[in-house]
Amino acid sequence: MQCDEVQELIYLEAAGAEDAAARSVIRDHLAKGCVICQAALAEATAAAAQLPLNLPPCPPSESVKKELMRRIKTATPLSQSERTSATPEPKRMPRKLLLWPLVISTSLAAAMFLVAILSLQANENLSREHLKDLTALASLQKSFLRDTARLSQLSHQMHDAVAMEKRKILSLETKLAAAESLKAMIGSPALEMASLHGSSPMRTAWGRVMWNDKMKMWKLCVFNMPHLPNSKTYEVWMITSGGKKMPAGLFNTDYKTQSALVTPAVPPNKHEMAEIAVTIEPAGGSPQPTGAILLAGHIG
Amino acid sequence: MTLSKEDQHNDYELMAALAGGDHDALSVLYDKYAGVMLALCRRILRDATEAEQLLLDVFTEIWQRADRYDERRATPLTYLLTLCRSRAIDRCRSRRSKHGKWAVNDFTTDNTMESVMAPGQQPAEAVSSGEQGHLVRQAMKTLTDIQRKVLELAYFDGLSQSEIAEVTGIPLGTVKSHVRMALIQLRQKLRKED
Repeated sequence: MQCDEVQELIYLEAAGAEDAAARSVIRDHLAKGCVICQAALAEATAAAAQLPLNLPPCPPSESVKKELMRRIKTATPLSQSERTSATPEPKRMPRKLLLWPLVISTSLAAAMFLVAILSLQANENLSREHLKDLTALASLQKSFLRDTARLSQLSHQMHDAVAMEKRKILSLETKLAAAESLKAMIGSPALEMASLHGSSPMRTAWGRVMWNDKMKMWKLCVFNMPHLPNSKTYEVWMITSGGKKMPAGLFNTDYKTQSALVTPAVPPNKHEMAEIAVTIEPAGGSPQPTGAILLAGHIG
Repeated sequence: MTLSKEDQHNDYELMAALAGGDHDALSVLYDKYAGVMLALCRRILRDATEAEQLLLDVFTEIWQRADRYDERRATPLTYLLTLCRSRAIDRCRSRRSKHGKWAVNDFTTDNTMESVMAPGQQPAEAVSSGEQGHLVRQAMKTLTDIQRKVLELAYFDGLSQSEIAEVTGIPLGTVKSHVRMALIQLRQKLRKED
């Protein structure tokens, strides 16, 4: 499960409203070592733990504290009792064995033992310092890992955002180039134009076809033509004076504006073309029209 | 009760001393937080005597298992309140299981302030105690009524998301989003004030 989905559940867990399934999902995810979700859970839990501070505090009666202090006098912290039981006291020598001839050798041994203890003590101090450094290092390492994970996530997000912006720029550049080309075509004195009119059942449909022989450009604008489902397509036809119909491209209209700007594929023998028309065909188009002509105009 | 940085630092020292078996550390910790912990117990259990008994048990557990506290996971106050809530909810659920399923009207009465006040305690006095409490109250005021209600049903009444949906008549998905938005807002407000 992704962090986003887990973090949805984390707030429920922090507030104590999670059910068994949500708890299991969170536990499984955290067991994988996700430091981001661990931090999110800690933050959410800390926020929820502030809720009791919204309540007016109630001072407990004196007897509660008295009873508590009485209890703890007899109850040793488990951590301590475990430590105590783990290191039993050394057995003492029976008194009758402490004889004078042993005193000197014992003192000597004690002196040597003391030197050894002092040396061990010094080592222990060093070890303690070392342990402290190691703890600090572990903490730094953990924080480093957390930051690295966050940076990695941010880096992925940024990478995706940059890719998306690049795609947008490319699309805008294409549109701009098309718009500039159209502007040049329309602005040229060689521009020719004809109107297209709708027929039943699309009487309100209309269009304009523009062409510029010098620039070898054709553009067809259509309006009031409904957006077609994926199984259908509009097909443009160039029709010769003899009535021969030649396919000149497929298009669909924008579903909001019900219009389209199309670049028809004009055949090489364009001077023979007398009419341009549009029909509805099955998706992928047809070699010859199968539907009725919905929009047509004379270009000859 | 205030929670300055220095106080929080002292709390960490107190927890360390507690783990070392220092009776005085427990006494200081008790004096600082028993009031808010008892308020929490009373709010959840709605029974003054049972709440004091639970407070005693919780502090005994804190003393006996001081080694459980891990400062990397939570501040001492978060740890104390989370443990306290958990034990109170456990007790409440066990009581509910003995007396049968809860009823919707168990949660329809407003039991936020007055119900948890000590006898003779005035609302104004209660509200004035605690700088952090003041900040939390301000933050809570920014939540919508339904966000606050949902959060209280979860945190204080120990209801699961589906139980909250049943009690309030709100769709399950909306319960989730209320809890999430409320906690995010609370966290942001308290962080701003930090």
